[in-house]
Amino acid sequence: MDTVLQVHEVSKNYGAKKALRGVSFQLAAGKITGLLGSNGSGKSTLLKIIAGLTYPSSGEVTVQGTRIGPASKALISYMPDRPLTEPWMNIGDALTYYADFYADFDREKAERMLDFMKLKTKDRVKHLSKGMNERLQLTLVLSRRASVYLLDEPIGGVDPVARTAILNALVEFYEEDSTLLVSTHLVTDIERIFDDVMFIKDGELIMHGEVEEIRLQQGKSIDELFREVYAEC
Amino acid sequence: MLKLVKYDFLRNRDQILGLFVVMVLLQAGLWITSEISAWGTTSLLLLSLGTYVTAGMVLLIQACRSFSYNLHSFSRNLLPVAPIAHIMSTLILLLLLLAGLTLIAILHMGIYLLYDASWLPEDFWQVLASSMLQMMWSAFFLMTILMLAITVAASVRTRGKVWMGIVIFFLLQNLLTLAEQIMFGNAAGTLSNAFQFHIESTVSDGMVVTRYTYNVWSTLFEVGVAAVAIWIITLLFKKRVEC
Amino acid sequence: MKIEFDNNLPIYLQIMNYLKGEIVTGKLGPGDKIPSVRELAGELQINPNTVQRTFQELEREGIVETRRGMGRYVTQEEEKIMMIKKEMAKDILDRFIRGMKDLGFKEDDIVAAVKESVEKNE
Repeated sequence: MDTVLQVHEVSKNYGAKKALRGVSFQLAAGKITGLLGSNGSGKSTLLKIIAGLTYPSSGEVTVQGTRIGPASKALISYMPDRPLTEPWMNIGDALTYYADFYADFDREKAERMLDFMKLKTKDRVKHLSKGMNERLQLTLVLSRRASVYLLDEPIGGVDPVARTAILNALVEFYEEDSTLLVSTHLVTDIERIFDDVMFIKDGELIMHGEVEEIRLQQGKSIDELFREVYAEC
Repeated sequence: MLKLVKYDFLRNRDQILGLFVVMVLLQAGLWITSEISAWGTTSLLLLSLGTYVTAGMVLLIQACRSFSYNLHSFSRNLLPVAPIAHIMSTLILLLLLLAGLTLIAILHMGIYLLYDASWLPEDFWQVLASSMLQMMWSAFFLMTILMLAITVAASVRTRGKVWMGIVIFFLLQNLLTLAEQIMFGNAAGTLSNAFQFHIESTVSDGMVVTRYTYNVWSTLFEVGVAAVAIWIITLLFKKRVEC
Repeated sequence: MKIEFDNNLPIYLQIMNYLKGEIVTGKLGPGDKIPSVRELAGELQINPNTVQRTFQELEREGIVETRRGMGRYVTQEEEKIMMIKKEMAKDILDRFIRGMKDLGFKEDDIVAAVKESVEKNE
């Protein structure tokens, strides 16, 4: 299988605080990987580094062999924990914004997804509820034909109905030659979607394995394993 | 890059249009009031000019806020564009808006001239053109130094970034003014001396000869400084600024 | 199609058991078409790769066959289906007998208990 994303010995320090310590892993095409950890474990920082919003203190990240920079941003579609839209926009403006800057943006796919999510292009971004906003972000992010999709807590703080819609969308719309990395601390709903799972604790990557193998060998759900690993947190 | 300019404009569209509308209304108001209260041409000229200059400063402040927003915006920083495009888009939008402002001023003046042309001095148009050039460059140069201050403040991980930015700006401004004074002996003491001109009228063989001299060295220096500033901003943007 | 998943066990095994159940009871008849990977993944909200693995396993066991360009179909071989049915029954019986023995039942008692239960349920 081709490696799409390569993270090599990435560390990030904020003064004395070590947010990430020597994190290394590779992600292959066609896989959905869960990035699990409690709050403050370093998940968001790692995703921001891959997305190119923050720079690592040491280490290297490459996407399709390209180092992180303006070129890699064209290959990565990132959904952060805050809005990708500006307050003056309506949903149609948001689509145009994406279409203007990203060559791999599939406007038709976006419109289909908006239908699926029950969103209208005339809706103003300011007037959307949190759940609807999450759905919009997901639409924008998944409508790009990127190599790497990074989703930071896509189902956090969202009502169960929106949660189902989001999980549906992930399964329905993901591209087979790309890789998905989804960070979450809400494991039960989403663990069925993961091929592989990575556990991050205190900035360290403590485990990277196949989900079904874990179930087979340990007879546990990922949620149960998660609770064990992070018990003291 | 032009697409970035488009979105910078769209984000601030309401404020920009509001500013222009208010300014035009103010100018109209001033003219009417000066007629009613018989202020005299000089007062009207000064007040009108003052209004335009104020509008220009508001645009400058807005450009600074827009630049700062762009530095920290997630959606901006995720775009696959070269860092220099982000920087130039703010400058280009500012210049376009200032050009718009200038156009309105010229139109305003044109209309007023139809009404009363008595106050127009000689070589007005040459002076006007040179002044325009100087003012545009001043705005560009000033903006560059401001952006540098903002970017440096954003690159350091301390509290009170706004104050730091202001301090850095004043430091730079004084440094540059001092440098120009020492190197080129500019007595004026303003930040931007490029394109400033002196008019000399001499009488020679019974003819009045007017000469326009420009500050060549100042110009070169300032263009150089601006280029270096933009280069530093790009570097900081790539390496040090975090969202 | 609605399956109650247990996250403690491999999902692909659970889907396999479910599909086998559908096949042996005839709900999915011999030669019937099976939903595609995408369809099934979407319906059940699980990773398409998991569904893919299920199908691969079913194909390996000969329960399902792929027809080029047309999709996946339940096998037409009735004996195969019969065999699966017997295997699944054997699993249930083995577990049942073990459970009964754990309770202390002897073999003859087990048979008697079964007979009684079956007659009651008629």
